Amino acid sequence: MFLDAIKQFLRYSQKKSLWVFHVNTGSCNGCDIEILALFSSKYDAERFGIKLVGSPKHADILLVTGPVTTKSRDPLLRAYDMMPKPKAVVSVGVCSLSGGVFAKSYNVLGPVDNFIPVHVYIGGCSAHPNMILEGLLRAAQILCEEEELWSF
Amino acid sequence: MEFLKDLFLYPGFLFGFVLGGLLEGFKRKLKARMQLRKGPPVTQPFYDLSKLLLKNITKPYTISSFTYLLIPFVPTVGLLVGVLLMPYPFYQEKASFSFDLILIFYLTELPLLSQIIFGYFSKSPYGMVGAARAAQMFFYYNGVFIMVITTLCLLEGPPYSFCLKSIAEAWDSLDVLIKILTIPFFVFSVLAKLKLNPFSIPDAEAEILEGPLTEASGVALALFKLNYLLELAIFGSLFAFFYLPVLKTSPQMGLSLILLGAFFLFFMFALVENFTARLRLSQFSALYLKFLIPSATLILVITWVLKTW
Repeated sequence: MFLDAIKQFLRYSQKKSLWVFHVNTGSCNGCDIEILALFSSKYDAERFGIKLVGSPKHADILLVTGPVTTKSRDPLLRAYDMMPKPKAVVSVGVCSLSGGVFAKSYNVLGPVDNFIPVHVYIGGCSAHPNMILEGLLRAAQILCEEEELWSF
Repeated sequence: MEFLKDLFLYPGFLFGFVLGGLLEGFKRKLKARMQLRKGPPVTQPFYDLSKLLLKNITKPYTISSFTYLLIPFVPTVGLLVGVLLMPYPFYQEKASFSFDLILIFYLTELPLLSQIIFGYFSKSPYGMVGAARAAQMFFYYNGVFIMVITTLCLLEGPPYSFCLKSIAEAWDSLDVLIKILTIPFFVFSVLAKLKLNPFSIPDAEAEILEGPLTEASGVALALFKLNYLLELAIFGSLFAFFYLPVLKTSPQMGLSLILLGAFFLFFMFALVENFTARLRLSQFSALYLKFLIPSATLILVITWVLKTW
């Protein structure tokens, strides 16, 4: 009973504290600029406990922008493997969803979910900061409630 | 039983942890408000820490699990002892030992040493660069910090001892003047000790990811964060002991003054962090070598002359 209450609190903390690692796998930088805007005074993602971290080993959420290219596939997989469980992936922008304008390019291998499991998809070219924020909060909900993510 | 109560409740683990967490949360909130943002809740550091406890550990192959957890755990114990060595009201009356400032100084260096060792052990290039930067900075800011505590120790008169309680009780008019003169040096050395802007050189996010802690994850990272919170509580309390008449009033008032002093120090830190950008290592060393260390030495010499002649 007591242990369950502690466990519930720790899971709730996971929802209130989201550390995000951002990977650009070949985007045009449009979505990256919107992600930077997310942490500015206007949108202030930090009020929800969201923080950009520099190391995938600290991260809870992998924020991927752009289609996966031949050069970026291995770094993406390595960053995903390095993240401690429970973890979720948020794919930002139409390029990471389907390839967008870069689809069928000679060096584009495909959308992000061909390589790693994606939990939240955010469309748009480029995605609006409000949408990215909503996507991150959905990912927090999934991280907190999805039993499958906690089986390790 | 009494000792366990001191160790885990007041002034030990619980007090240090809660005070450190609130100070960090307060600083983050204040920084956000100064930038016209709403900012995270004051309890955010507690959420961050408790989340890390449930996370999996992904450690590098170069380091064993035991070492990976031992390196951050040793300073946690050291800092807990450090908290117990401070003459907090309601506690100092019954403690039978002297509150040795030198020992507190050594114990507060343990987290930094553990980070340097962790950075080198993890074999991550970012970790090693961060550890090298932290090791270089160590000599500069500690020079100033030692000057400050030596100056303050001269206030109590012969026989000179580094007893925190005697320093906190020295409140003549000359003592107050000298104490006020040492405040900027204390603030600058503690800013560098806590790796806050403009001295956040070892864990400069945009340049070297997370510095020495790049490879830390799960419980190991939680322990490093806990150490940081305990450090905040220790330095916040030290500021109050040095510069506020904590032990000259009733214990209730003394405790309120400690909290007031600690939060005021972190208000100043938030202000400095918002006004300044990160310095380069060469600028940092020039600032300390050309200005802060000579000025702190001058104040020490003046205090020595005034107090002995």
